[in-house]
Amino acid sequence: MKPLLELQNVTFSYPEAAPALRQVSLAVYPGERIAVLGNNGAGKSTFFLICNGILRPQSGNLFFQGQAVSPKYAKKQVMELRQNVGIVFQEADNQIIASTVESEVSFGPLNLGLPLAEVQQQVDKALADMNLLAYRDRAPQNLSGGEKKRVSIADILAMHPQIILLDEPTASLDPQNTILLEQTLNQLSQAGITLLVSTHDIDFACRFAERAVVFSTGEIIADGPVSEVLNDDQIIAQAGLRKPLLFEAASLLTNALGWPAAAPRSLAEFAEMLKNTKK
Amino acid sequence: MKHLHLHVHLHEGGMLSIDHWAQHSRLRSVSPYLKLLLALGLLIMCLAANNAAFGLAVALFMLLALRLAGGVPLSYVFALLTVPLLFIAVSCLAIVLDFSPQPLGLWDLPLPAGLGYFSATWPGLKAAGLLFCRAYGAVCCLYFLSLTIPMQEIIMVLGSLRLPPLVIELMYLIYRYIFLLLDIQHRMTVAASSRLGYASLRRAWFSFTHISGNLLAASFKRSSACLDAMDARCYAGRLRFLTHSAPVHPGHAALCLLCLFTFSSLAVYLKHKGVDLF
Repeated sequence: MKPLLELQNVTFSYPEAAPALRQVSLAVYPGERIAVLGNNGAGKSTFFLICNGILRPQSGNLFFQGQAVSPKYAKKQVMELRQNVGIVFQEADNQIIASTVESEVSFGPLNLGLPLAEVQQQVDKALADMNLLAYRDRAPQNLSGGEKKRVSIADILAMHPQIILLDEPTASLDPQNTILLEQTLNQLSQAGITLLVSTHDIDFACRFAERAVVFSTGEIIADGPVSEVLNDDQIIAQAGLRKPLLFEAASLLTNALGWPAAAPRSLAEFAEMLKNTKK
Repeated sequence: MKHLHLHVHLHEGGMLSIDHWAQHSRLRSVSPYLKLLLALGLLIMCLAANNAAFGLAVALFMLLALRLAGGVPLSYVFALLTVPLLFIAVSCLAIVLDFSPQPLGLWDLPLPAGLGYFSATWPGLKAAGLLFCRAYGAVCCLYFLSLTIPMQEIIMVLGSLRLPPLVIELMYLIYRYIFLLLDIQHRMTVAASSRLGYASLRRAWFSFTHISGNLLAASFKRSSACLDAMDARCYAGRLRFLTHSAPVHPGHAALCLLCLFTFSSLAVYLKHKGVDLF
């Protein structure tokens, strides 16, 4: 399978600062669910902005569907990249610019220059998918945090992207809205959209993603299946992360009771493990 | 939740609560074009008729419309009206009082050292009363507009009246940013007062100036984050949105025209018969 999006040896630094990304190489394949992990300042947000063509690397290359976008950044290609690779920003308030939910969601499709009827159709579909039809005429200042997050995802969905990058989507959500968001992400993934989610919530990352990419001081220090990457003590220590609670629980059972080593990614998998080992 | 909190804080006549009433008005199902036609039509008649009784009739009609059709409590509308009324009252005072060397009016205030008198005359009182009633009617028309049409619909109507796109785009952004900046300012003020930043006049002044400075820095930072987010959605220099407002309902249109017709007939009748309050 060909990668959808590919970064090769990308290096980027902000003016008068240490490099934010160093020699970052990564290939994203269609349909993947990737957790992007790492501490604040590790380069996750910069990485997202590079993927969407907002920032341009000082060296290295960016490919979308096999076509090199860098270093030329031709206008048409940038637009194609931005339409296909959407970013849901961490602060919904920085993203929302219109004065009603419907106009807000229409901003992206209108920028694509689509005919009005088609824009309306895509907006309606995105609102329906995010359960926002009843909020169509509401002003963003009258929405709750969870509702704003849904609006910011609908913003991107209305542009029909192939990849969605979500920057710390759970950061400002209460537990109930976090559960809803997780369901939403599962639906998007089932609809065939490739998802990259940056997060500090290790247990959520472990449940949600199949692949984990770990950033530390601008470099990718690990990239592989979640159950391997998050079980590697050295990587965990280097990136300043912690192991998922369920992995810890499983290793306690291994050490104390001599059960076979396991890395259950969700509570369901953990329960399954308990049931199987009892027999 | 914090926005609800903001509403409660500023519920005594602040701009945010005007926005709240407009967003939740019962008249949102009426086309903004009709509401604009009604309010501006009555406003122009009110100024043109030059008749105190007519001004009061328009004011009364607008207040009733706000209360009965719009669902806005009258106590709130009167709270809003106090500020413009104070302004009108002060300017009327200047018209009522005339300077004269001799006492000649209904009431005279002698000035010291034989400089003359401040006198209230009957023509002055009449002129002031007329001005007051006209202005009162006109202000009620404007409050009807701001309490029944949400800002985004006003901007949309202006846009369809061929205002330059730049002006329209700026209006959208400014309107959106009022809420974001007020929200930041509110949070910084709460944080400052929780550290006794407003304990004395001196400290309050200090906190106020620093919060203002921070607000500037915060808005710069936010504007660059916002531009990134716009670019990420293929922003190419034109800010366009799908806008949507209630369509013109024939019943509403008929009612609106009936009101305008009734009031214009009233104006002509009052003029013809020479009826007025003063």
